[in-house]
Amino acid sequence: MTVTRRDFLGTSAVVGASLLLSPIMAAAANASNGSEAKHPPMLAKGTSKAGLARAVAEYRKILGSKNVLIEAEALAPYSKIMIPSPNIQHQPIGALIVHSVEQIQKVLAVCNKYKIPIWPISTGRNIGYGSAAPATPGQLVLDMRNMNKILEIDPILCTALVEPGVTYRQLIDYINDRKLNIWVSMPSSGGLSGPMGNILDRGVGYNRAGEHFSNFSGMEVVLADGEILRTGLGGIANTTAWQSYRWGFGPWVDGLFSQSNFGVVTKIGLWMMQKPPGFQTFVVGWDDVPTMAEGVGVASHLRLASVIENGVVGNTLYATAQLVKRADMYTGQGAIPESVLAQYFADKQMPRWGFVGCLYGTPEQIETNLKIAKDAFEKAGGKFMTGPNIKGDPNAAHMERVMTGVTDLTEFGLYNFRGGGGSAWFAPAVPARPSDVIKSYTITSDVFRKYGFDYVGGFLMGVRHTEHVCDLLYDRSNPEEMQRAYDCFREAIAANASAGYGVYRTNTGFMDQAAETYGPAQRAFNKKLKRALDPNGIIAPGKSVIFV
Amino acid sequence: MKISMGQATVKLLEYLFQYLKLSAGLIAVLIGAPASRAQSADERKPRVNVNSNDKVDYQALSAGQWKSGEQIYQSFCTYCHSTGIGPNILGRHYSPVALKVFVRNGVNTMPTFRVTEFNDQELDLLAKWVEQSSPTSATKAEGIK
Repeated sequence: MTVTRRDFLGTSAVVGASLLLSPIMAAAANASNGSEAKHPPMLAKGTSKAGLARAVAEYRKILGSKNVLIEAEALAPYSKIMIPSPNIQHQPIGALIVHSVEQIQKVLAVCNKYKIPIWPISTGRNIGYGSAAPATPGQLVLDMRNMNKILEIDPILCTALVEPGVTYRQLIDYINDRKLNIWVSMPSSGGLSGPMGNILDRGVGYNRAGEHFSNFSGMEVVLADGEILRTGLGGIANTTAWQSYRWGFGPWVDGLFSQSNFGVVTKIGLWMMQKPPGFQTFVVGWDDVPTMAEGVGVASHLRLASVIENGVVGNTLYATAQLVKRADMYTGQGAIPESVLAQYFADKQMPRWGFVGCLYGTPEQIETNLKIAKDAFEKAGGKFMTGPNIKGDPNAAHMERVMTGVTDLTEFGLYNFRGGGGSAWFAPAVPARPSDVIKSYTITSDVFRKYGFDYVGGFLMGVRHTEHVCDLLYDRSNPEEMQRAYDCFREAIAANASAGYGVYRTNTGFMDQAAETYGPAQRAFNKKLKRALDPNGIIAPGKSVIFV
Repeated sequence: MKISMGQATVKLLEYLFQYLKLSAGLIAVLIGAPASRAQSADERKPRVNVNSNDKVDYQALSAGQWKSGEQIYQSFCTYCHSTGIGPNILGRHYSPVALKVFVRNGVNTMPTFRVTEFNDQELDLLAKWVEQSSPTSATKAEGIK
């Protein structure tokens, strides 16, 4: 079902064919990627044109007309995606700009009345996972970027309570302006993104608090019926403990609101890292996959022993792709051949894989832990480096910055490697055992190569697991290449699932397949919860393929 | 339109032309009265920090709160456009119209920036500041004076 501007304006409005929303929307999309046929925007399933028009009138009364966006030009920033999924499948039909919890409650009441679905975003920077655009077409984006207060910071316990629109940069500026002894963990997109969305999507950062869903405490959630739920100790009147103790009393429900659509999270507490007296970055290099995989095992062992507290393992192409263009390495067909890569990195005297970690503490702590780490990595065949050897390495410098609380978008250089604006993060969770690392790497790189794409990835070190994160880079302006990227991504999910590895997170174009790999029981359970909490299915239908 | 020469400029113009051509039917509609800034009934009062008298109620870096175009540039654009990830856009006298299209549409690999991050008046400030910016050493190295 298509919608015209007349549907919003009412029957008295004079609307010519040239004012149809569809060509304008398509124009905005095509101006971005130039690849897709023009399509009219679709209404969300179960939404009527008349209901939408009446709802828009009510949203305007609640929010003011300038905060209800329906014209194509205004929606362009909400529509751009990099994933290999058609724009039309993720095209919002509007955006609602809210400034308070009270407004959200009123908006939800209207949504329930007219069965209008909304797609909440905080900073809207889930780049390579669907950005700000919804999982299914026809939703209105609920933009909470202007709810951006840092409500509380405890500089001793290193906690904060923030609203959805708070950005990492804002939080870090606040902390630095006041010289607080806190470092914020952030993802590679930290210059633009914010903590709430990253925590809720279970994203990953790089310092001691890098596993973000393990480093938050307390949420405030507006449920679909408008009720406000504060989780954990947030239920205690006048508590000062909400951000210091996560579990509260009775069932712990916070996890239900991550990667889900059971409510609109409007406040979240986060745990940050106490700024250490000192730090020491180190690098480990390996020349082949088996030795690298042994190194992952060593890193896990060192994490279990709390000798190291973080670390990333990257294929050297991942580091190089941030800095050079692919055409300068290879201009032939298909994925860059192994022989070309081997020669390229041999010429530059670079190992094929690298680990970057950062030790924190007093000089004595660092000296002791550095020796333990060096001995362990070297014993397993790694080339261990610190100090002057890595100072000139832009990738090590970048990792050092993000591991020490400095925002940095060096990794956005990846998007220039192949060009064309296509990127999708493929990321199965893999046990930190060498055999599993080899298996997931082999499966994934083989699939990427089969479809003509380069393996640009690595392993983010947890304690017992790694997130095997790969950026599927493709030219989104080329329809054939986008189709190939789509097929590649599907096969990568399927092949890893066959080996027992599920994605820890995925983009809005592949949530159906990802949920499928996790089996029917989880899907059925999610549906039961959705029906109980949001019977009209108004909050983010399709997120993690959860529908009423 | 005051535009200097160069490959990046040509590309900029191409994108602009494409955009304007495709959106020729676009008209400004539905601009109503400004919204009242409703406050949440349950808005939490800031708690005093444990070891300071500094009240935590810090709101910044979003629409309506910017003081200058340069401040916006330094908070967003500089991450890519002053580091070699994106093209150097300072000192090139780029057209504000074209820049605004880029910012809101995120051409090619560039992310988009929404009206909630900086509003249209603030985008005007940014575009004007970039247009009038002086060449940096990087700009000069590319032969732009």
